Amino acid sequence: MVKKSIAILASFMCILVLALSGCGSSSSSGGKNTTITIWATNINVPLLKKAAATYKKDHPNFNVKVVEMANDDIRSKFTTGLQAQGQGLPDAALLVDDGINGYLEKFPNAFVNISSKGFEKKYAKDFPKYKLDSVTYKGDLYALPFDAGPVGLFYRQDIFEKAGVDPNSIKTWDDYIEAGKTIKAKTGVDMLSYDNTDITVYTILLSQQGLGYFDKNGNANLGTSESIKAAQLLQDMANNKILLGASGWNAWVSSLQNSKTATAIAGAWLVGTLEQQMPKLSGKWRVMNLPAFEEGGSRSANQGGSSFVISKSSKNIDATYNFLKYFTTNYNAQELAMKGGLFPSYLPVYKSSLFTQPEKYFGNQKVWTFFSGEMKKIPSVLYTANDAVGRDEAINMQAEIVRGKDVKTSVNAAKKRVENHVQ
Amino acid sequence: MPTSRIRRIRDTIGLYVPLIIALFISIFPFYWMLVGATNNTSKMFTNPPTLSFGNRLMENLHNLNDSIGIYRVLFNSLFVSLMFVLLSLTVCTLAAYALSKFRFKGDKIIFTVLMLSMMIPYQATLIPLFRMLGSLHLLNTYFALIVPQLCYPFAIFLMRQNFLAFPDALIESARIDGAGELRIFFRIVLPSMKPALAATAIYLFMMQWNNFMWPLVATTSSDMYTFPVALSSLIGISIIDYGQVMMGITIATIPIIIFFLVLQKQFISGMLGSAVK
Amino acid sequence: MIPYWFVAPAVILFLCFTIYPIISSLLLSFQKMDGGRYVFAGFANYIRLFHDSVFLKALYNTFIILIIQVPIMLILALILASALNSQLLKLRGFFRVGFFMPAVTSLVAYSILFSILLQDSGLINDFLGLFGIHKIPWLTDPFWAKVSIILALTWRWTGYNMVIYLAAMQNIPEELYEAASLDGAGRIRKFFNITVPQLKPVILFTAIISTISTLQLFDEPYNLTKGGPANGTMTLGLYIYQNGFKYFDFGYASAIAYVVVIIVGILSYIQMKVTGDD
Repeated sequence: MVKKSIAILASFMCILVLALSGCGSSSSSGGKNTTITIWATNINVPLLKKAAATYKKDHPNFNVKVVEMANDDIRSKFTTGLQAQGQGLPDAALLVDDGINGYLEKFPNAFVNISSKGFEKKYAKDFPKYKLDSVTYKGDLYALPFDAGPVGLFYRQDIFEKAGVDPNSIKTWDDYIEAGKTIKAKTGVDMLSYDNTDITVYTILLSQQGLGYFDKNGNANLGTSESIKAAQLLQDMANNKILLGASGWNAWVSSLQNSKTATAIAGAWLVGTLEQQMPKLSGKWRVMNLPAFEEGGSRSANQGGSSFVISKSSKNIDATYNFLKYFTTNYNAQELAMKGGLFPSYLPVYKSSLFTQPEKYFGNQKVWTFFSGEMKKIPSVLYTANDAVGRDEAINMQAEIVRGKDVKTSVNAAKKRVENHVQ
Repeated sequence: MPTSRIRRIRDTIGLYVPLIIALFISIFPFYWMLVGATNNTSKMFTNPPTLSFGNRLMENLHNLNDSIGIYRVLFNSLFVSLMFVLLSLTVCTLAAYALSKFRFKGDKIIFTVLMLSMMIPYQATLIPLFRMLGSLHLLNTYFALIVPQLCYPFAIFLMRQNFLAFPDALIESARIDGAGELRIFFRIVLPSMKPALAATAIYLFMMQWNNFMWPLVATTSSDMYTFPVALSSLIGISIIDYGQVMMGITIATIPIIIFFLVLQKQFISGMLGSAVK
Repeated sequence: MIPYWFVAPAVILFLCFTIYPIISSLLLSFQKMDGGRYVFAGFANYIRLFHDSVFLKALYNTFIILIIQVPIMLILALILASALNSQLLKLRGFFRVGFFMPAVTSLVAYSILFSILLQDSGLINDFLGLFGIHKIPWLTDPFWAKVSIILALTWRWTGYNMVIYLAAMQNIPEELYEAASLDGAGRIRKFFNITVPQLKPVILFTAIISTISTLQLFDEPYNLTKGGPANGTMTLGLYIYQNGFKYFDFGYASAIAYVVVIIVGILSYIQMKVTGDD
């Protein structure tokens, strides 16, 4: 009798397990209907859905499924999938630009060659050179360009006024430090708050000078004169006690919200963060160009930005390409992206009124005109597979430098560590 | 006598005060989480900090559902965790019983290998496992989320420890009386294992509920996401709505607390009713 | 006959889903990535480990955290369990749930929480300021960052271990305590001479499990400090993840994993020998 109940129990278990294997969604492209899967961060989901709906009018059998993920997760999953010979990968994914080259170096068959599809011939003129360069590998495009992060120096007009500092007088980083000293003396507020668990500011300073972490021969740029200038700037700020380190994103946002800093260096996305997280500070912020390292030098840089890659293992390469080509070069779709909080790199859309209107939060400054004007000035930067190592060592270097360690020593030590780690 | 009464009061205070402080430390973050869930995201980092409830509970909930389809996610997490506990408890308890109350060829090897396997960091086995399930076309299924970890060495260890403490004499006498092994297992041994089963169940549920890395890797569409994966998709972008995030975390925490509360009673009744002395 | 049936489901699942990946990653540890495919590389990965200053730092950090956090947490758990076991206590269930709750939180949640509370200008420093204590750089200094990780881990896991100990304590026969009272033993003597010895197998068990999880520690350093500052909280678990998923070097990551395995093996063996269990 007991044996019988065991038998029943066992078969119940088996059935359960088998049933489980049938459950859950599986990717599809059966029959006449084509459904493609795109991985993207939360913020892009409504845009892609709307664009897909519009596209469907001319392509009735075409469906888009957007899977939302955080950037880190997209990266982890893509890595896993590529290591497993392409299993589990979507048809397309929105990847942050600075990681795309890295994938191609390690996995040459990861993405579809977009140039070979004719994208470049037709649309290259509609995108800024630096953006196209960032998704170019060995001369060809491997992703469809989407949003960008033109950098600005965000500053608190009210604090500047209180200290009697005129923003127009800040043309070089030396001017910036002088202004910072004045502001600290007169108001007690630090000039720059930065996330010291990350390397955003230093990276921006490098890219302002046209450098990434490695040159095209694979040498670490940490030891170059540009890198030394950037590191020295941070140390000068620390020595003059105008630099505020916040550990982590939340802390950094907190420091902005609590008026602990007079400026912030970030991409255009900061506009959205300020407006949503700090409504009480409306009217107080403005944007201006980064100061240059020397008179007449570059005052522009980019931070962030992503583009669409198409997996080589996709079963719907052409359908996916056609949809993404539509999305990234369609005026209306890009306008929608702008409304949704992203900054498009598609040049023609800058004619839209969205870009020429004054922004109330910024005291009616036309911030979007500022940012769109930057796009053609931003220097190109080389991204490589080992950038992650470079970044991590730079973070350690940064920690030493703001504590007063000799810049040249620190910088060269970091360069050595990177070169030891990289094979 | 008065002095012993004073001593009693002193002892009681000496007991309660540190406990209450410790309890406060333990619980305060949850209170703070509820504050975040009922407020607007801009109140997250104010200085002085916002410590009172706001009125945005429904709004945050609604936004959260728009963002990540929270009801489906809740279902996924519950289904996966409960199924996992049920199946894993069965598999592991059976194995633990065999490994503690029987001597058979290979028992030492099996147990040693099981224990040794706990030392392998999971990050290392992630990719081979992923590859295997991918080639079986089982990715993004409940099977993938539940089955690979069913044999959970920790649970086997835990149950085995408890079985070892069960008097062999009782089993022996039942055998002499002519009872079959299965009857002995189900009717005699298992009933007094309730506390152990409850503790193991709690552990397994917790582990599966908060499991992040594997569900992240094994799911390829958002409708199969479990809580940690869904919540993660809300972070890691430049504009984070903390009201939503905190609301999500609150919802994610409630079932697991309920699970513990429910089994906690089982614990107690199991112990009071325990006739094994 | 019978035991084989009992043990079969577990063994089959184990072979498929645990043994196979373990062997596969062991093989991976002897391979190197080259142009998208893996090629055999002998012991190259393992040799590289010895020269890798970050690996050595991770090893050091992990051990420091292990040696300090695990004993503190287990002792605290024992004390709390003992307190909850006391006759004087009402509302035991209430306290028990309260202490257990941290173990239940999701990692995203409690990392955000702690990262905000431990800011230089955060609540905790404000609170300490009331006592005249100067601001502590919880997350910006390598030493204090380790302390922060230890605090977070202790907050999270003490309650869990406490529940285990409490359950075991309630299995200790009352007669033992009564007999000791008659002999004139005070509370502390009872604790050390009865409670602790009776709990020995459970204590060993929690010690081993805590050791294993600490040696693989990943979530907290990943979410709270990202291994910084200056690799001050880089742990072995985090380094494995970093090499595998950030630097795409899965062969190397697997090698690190196996070194961890060896270490765990040695430590567990020592722990068992020291307490004289099986």
